[in-house]
Amino acid sequence: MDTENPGAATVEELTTKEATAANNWCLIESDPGVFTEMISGFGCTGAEVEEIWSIKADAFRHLEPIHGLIFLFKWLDDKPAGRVVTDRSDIFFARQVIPNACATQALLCLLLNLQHEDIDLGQTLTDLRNLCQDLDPECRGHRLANEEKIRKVHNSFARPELFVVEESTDFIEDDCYHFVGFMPIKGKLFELDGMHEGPIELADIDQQQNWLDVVRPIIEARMERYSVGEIHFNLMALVSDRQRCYERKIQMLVNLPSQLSHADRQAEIANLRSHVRHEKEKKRRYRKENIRRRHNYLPFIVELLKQLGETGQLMAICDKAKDRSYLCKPSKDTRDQQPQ
Amino acid sequence: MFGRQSGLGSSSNSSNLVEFRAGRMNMVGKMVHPDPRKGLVYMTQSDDGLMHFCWKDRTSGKVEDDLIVFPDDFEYKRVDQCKTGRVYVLKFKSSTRRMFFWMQEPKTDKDDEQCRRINELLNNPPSAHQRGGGGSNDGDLQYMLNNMSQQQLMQLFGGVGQMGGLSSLLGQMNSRTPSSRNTSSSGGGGASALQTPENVSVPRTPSAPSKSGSSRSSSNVNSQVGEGAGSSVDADAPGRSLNIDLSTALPGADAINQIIADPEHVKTLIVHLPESEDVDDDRKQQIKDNITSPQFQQALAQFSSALQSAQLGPVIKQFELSNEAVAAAFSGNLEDFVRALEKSLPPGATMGGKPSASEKKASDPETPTSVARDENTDPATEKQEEKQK
Repeated sequence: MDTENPGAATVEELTTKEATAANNWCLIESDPGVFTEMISGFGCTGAEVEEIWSIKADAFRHLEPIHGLIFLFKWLDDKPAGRVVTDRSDIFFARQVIPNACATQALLCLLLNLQHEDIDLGQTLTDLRNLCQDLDPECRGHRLANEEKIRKVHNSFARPELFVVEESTDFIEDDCYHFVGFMPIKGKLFELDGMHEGPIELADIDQQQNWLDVVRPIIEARMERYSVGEIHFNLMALVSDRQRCYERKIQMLVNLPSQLSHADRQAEIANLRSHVRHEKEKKRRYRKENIRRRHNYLPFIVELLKQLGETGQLMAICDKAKDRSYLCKPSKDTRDQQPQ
Repeated sequence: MFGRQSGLGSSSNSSNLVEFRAGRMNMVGKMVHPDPRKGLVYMTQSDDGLMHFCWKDRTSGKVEDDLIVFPDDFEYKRVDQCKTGRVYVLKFKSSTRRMFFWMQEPKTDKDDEQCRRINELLNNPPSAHQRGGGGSNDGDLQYMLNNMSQQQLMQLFGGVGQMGGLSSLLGQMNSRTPSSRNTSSSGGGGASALQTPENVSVPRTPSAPSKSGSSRSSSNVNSQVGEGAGSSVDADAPGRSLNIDLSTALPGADAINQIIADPEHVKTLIVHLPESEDVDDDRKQQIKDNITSPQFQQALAQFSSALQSAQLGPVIKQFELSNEAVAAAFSGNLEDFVRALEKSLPPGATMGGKPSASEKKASDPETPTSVARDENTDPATEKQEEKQK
């Protein structure tokens, strides 16, 4: 709990400083640290987001239980891939009625449909769910758009105003990207996409079946729709807080009788403690990165360029950058292929 | 494409969504007695889209019970009180009526699954068009039309729907333009997806030397061209047409190490960085970490792009730079901007040479300049803060 307080304080402070337009929602970067901080900003504990680099079965195993998946892809106005369900009042679903809100909506739809002992929704999300109980998806979308606490957390990731303004007037491009959620609900696999009228029922999940084995071919098929080599998607998993899981296992090994020998038990405890240290370091890195995301680097850039100029080194750097702009395509190709 | 899996009915009758062998039971007073006949419980969907819960005598083939069911009217569950067999009850939610069945399947392993399946079909019937094997006919069409939303109907019928859809699509595109900018600034592909690999610094390191090598040779060629008479115009033209991205060259430059070797430089740079949570962080390391971070590189790429789009003039003006630098920012010429920053070199320093004697000479004039810079820093910061407010 002490670990999370600084994060919450940081969000509050930065939210106060950042003046964003009253009803606008900013863009959200597809990054596990961003989503994890949004979760704690909503007051929810016990959950975090991890990036999925491969959808092969083994790549998921160490993250289980996986409660849901968040998929970012190039948006196409497609027909739903399954049956749109409009009569399930037990499923939380909200239509997206405002631009740029799909990241938060995908995340909230997963959290509010989730019932797991590891995760505590907290007051804000519990109130939101109760408030939306009797509303239809459209009204829920509007309710969500007007929820001040949610929007503040979302907009705390707005980039400094200068650059956003420049971009919006400078470039007009066709591509846009969209976040959706996938999760199992009562023995069925659902896609939660705010651009449709309801949750999309994709498949049945047998009782002995792992829902990830059901969703994997669906996501694979989704990815194959794009040209080979193009990187137009990203996949993240909503999981239980890893640090808590490891700490709980340590407590069990220390306090409960175990089949392990004393030496094996000590080795396992040391291994788990190593995982805990790794998770703490990861959370520290997330906080650092999120602070940088919000920071206005313009004064630093100008000062740095001035100093490089005064020491007579700036022209060489500019020339090198200019040369690399000639090598632009090979550079892009190289970068495009790295995730594969 | 990934429609719902069909139920157990496919084994013998493709129109049945679920079926299993079970006998009826009859109520006599408060007692329930099994009917010894062999029976079949199944659910099916008629052509009009209605769901039916049926029981038939397997010997005679006669359908003795055929209930039309609607969502939330019924519940089907096991009767745990009965210990002599596997008994299930179909409860009518709106009355006290009950129908009891005893399982006749030889194995018990699928009882729970069939019970779940029955409840699913009772309360969540599949849409008519998703039925397996059902051909299209008037009943299906009517059912589909009756169940479509107004939006879907508009999409189905002609131009109004299409225009609406197109308008919605265009609106979606327009509202997400900033997201696309992320895409191009990251060098193609999904911006967010590409940013994540950039967090992995190791894979990018091996490619740097080869690029650096080719860059050096190219730089020499450019240098020779630049020396020619009248070539300044030619040199400017490529600069204007190309989008030079400083973030591709600056982070790995040795120049950074030279900058942070000077405590005065560190002092003036550190005030512009976000505060670090770790008190024991080395200031030089903080500067290097920030310069190599994806967040800073993205900001520098955006700075390069914004300056070349000629929109940073008013902002640059507030930083107390030379008139030439401000003019370059207003005209959107990054190379002129860079040249202007270098033109303000202290006397005695040269661009090309770096002998130790020059360094010593350069350091002396820098001292008063550094003091002046400290004085200037505060007004710039104040102006920046005023703008932000």
